[in-house]
Amino acid sequence: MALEAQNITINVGSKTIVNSASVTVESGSITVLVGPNGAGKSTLLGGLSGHTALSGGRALIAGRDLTQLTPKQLCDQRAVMLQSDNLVFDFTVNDVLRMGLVWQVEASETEKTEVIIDLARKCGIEHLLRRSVLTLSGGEKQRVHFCRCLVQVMGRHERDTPRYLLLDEPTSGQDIANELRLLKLLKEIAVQREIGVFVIVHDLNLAVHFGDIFYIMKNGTLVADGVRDAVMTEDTLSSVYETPVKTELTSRGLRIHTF
Amino acid sequence: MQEGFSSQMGEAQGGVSTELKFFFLLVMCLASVLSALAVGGVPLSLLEIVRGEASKLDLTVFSQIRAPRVMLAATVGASLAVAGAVLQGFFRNPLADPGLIGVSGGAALGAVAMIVLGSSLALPVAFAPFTMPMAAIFGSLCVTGALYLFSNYYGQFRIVTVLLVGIAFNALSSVGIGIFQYISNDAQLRSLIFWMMGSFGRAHWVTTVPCVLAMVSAVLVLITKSNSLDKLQLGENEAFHLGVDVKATKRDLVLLSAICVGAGVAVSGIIGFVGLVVPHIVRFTIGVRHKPLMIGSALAGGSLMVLADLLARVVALPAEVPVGLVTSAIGAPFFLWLITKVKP
Repeated sequence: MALEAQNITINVGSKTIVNSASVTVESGSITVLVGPNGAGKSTLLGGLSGHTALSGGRALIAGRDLTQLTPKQLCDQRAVMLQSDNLVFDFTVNDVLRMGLVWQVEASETEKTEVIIDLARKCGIEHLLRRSVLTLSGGEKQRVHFCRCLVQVMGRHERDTPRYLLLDEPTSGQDIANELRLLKLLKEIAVQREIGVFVIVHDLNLAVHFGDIFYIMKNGTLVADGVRDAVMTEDTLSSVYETPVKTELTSRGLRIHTF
Repeated sequence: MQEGFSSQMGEAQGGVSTELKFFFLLVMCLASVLSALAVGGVPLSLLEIVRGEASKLDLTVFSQIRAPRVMLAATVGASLAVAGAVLQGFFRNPLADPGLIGVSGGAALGAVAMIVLGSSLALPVAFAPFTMPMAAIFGSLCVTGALYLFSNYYGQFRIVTVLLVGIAFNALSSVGIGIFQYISNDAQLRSLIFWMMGSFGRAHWVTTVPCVLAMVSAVLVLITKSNSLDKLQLGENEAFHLGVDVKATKRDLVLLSAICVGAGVAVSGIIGFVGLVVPHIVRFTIGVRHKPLMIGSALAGGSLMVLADLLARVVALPAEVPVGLVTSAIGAPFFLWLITKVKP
């Protein structure tokens, strides 16, 4: 069971943003996508999420083509966190988290509240539940949307539905402590609940620490994929980022330096 | 990039439960309807009417004039308020009002076109109660649809852009209405001007029931879309990822809000600001989630319109002031205050 992109190509206008990319996101593991700005990472994520129309190839979730599934069926199987902030009206944090309750039909009111409070605590936003999202800082808002996506994939109790979490730079606005907290939580959930995570990050050290499978993208093409030691090498990274990159294997894992 | 709009007053009322607030609203609704039924040029005793002791004249006034008028005012108020709430949510714009963004103007143009051209269509007489509402709904649909296409083309509108586009649509509608005034004959001109003044004074059962039914059903269906409208507040992408069929939902919202506005304008002319003022009061007091917001707006909009119409009827007896004057007198200062808060 996996979320897969098979040779997907995405054109915007006459420009090819993603060129024949193939990605496999396995349940229970963290798949990391890295690459320079403008490489097409977010567009690739859009293709994997079922939102962006493909110009070529296909995307499958548990063997079924995404285009055959309704938005309702898709939202039962995967949550997507984008880099956006569109709220204009005074929704409370609690209101926004409850929008993630797409599995609500089967759950009791107590059950729903428990899930929300538990996840809000883990994301460090429990004390904000009654606040208006408009009054929060950028980092706090980001944690609210992160938590909403967790609510969407975590609520279901049956273990048989494959669930995936697609995240576009989920920790870009976090301080170091919260960044670590969210990534640890992500790792824990991926392993315990067998959720397949696909995440775009820029911090290469965090990527190698938390990732299981790595993809590197440049100019719309995936230039490397596989396990850490095959992908996150000095040569590959230096050429992709056009910047000298040093890697060092220490007792605490692989360290990546740029100076 | 998006302008935020905070109405934090809501937190202060945390002590009163939502159920109690809705109970107050219901009581207010009932009280305004009952007083509007009783008070007027001919004062009526509702007790006598219920007991069957009322005079024949009183009964006629009640059943043929007062009751249809109050029912119409309540429905139009509810319908415009809900349409305002929906359009604000749809465009994620706290300043959207059916009148300000040109939707009512489009409906008026449709209705005026039907007044002037209707007779040359030679439709069966039985269609008469339907033709004007249909034309008005078509007119408001054109404007909502055009706004929607504009926003799709240019991406999410800035708050002030919707209003500017609204000014353009209102100007275009005025041009159209001016042309129809010019080519109309005397009889058409008279009914046209009479209609444009905006009043519930011409409420008769036969002419209003189709519109009332259309507005009531549109409001009820809109309430079922409240969950999707909530999710659309996060953005269209996000709503899709939360299971909303964005395209179908947007189409339904455009169509249903056009019915709310068009049918309202067809029976009562342009009545401004109800769609702006009411949803904001409900957001402050009850909350921003669209289900309570729409139900609250329907109840509050209905009561407000019934009371405004009552005021319009009695303030200068035996003459009548246009009800739109009353709502604009309340709404325009409110709009100014809102601008200082939203800072578009």
